[in-house]
Amino acid sequence: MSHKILIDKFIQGQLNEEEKTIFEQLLNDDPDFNQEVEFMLHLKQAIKINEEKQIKKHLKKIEQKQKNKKIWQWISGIAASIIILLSSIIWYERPSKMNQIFEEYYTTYPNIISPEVRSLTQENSLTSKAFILYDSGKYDEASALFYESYLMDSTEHLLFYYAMSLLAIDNTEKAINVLENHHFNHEQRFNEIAEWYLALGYLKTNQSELAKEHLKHITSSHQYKAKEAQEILEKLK
Amino acid sequence: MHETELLKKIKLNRENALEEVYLKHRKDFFKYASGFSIHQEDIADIYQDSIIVLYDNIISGQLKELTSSLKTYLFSIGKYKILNFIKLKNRNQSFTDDSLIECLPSHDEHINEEQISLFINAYQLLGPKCQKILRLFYYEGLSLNEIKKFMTYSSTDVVKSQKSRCIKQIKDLIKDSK
Repeated sequence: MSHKILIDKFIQGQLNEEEKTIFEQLLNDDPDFNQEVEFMLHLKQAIKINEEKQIKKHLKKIEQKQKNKKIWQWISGIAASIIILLSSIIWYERPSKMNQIFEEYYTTYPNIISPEVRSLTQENSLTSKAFILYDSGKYDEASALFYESYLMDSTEHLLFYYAMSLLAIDNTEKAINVLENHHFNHEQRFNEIAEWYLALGYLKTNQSELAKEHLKHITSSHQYKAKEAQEILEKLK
Repeated sequence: MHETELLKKIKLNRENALEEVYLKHRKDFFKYASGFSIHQEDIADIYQDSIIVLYDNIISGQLKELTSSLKTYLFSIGKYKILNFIKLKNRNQSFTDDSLIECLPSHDEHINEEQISLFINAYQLLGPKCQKILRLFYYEGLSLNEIKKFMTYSSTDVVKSQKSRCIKQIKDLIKDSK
């Protein structure tokens, strides 16, 4: 084995027992070999120090970034709360107005299904229970049952009444979500009604632009509650 | 992430992997070190040095398999460094950053400072390719075959001759500066 390879193996800590003996002997007997080993050890050490400095520089940069981020978060936190404070002062008038309109126009949609259901056999007692609760104003319990029965047989009006129950118990966000994401394919008559309640939901949650959009659509296509929609649009001006 | 996977990552892409480890345990380490009432800036310094020791131990093969979690391992290095830091601080109130650098493992060994700085200067004068090949071989301990794959050389013989050329270059540079 050449001296070069022997030294390389030593540097990488890969000498076996036999090679170690040869290596030690050369180290003692051969000054050139000795010098070469010393050179390589120095080189290894120098590279190590240099690399460690590089890593340190890199880590310091990361640390600085973290600090900057923290400062920035702090500043933007303050900025955000100022903006929220200002906008809540500015918008204080409007939400109350929109809420007022909501209160004025909102009525719980009547149960137009149940009589038909009752005339049929009591095939789904869960559904009829839900309607009985709805009729007696127990919307909280009704919403749970409507949801459950919708999961069971996917009749669309159950979803509609689920949303109506949610509106009645002020779970407006959830109601909006249901109404916004569902098109009634089999019971088309509910689409118009759903849009009216969707518009009301947006009023309740102070999303005036979205409310207006739906109200305009209701008016222009002469849908359910078109007249009322027009009135509200006037008031919002 | 699986931690042995992280060790692999460290070997492959140093900068990214170290950043990941650094950020992952940074908060906890600062919390831990604050218990010793050390300044934030000193904690950052100690933490950085601990990461470097972790890295050194991985590439030198000292740390092949973790018996505990990486975090535990890192924190045990950190703890040693914290205690060392406190000891130094108590001994010498006019404490400077230089004494911290002496805590780095590379300073433990007996070396000729002047001689080494000669080598460092020469190394920095080398081209990037030479620096890389020498770094991979002497510091990261990669085999010629691994270097071949890593730097996309056609054969290990090419790596070997390239390495020899780089060694010759640095020898000449050192001779010139003497």
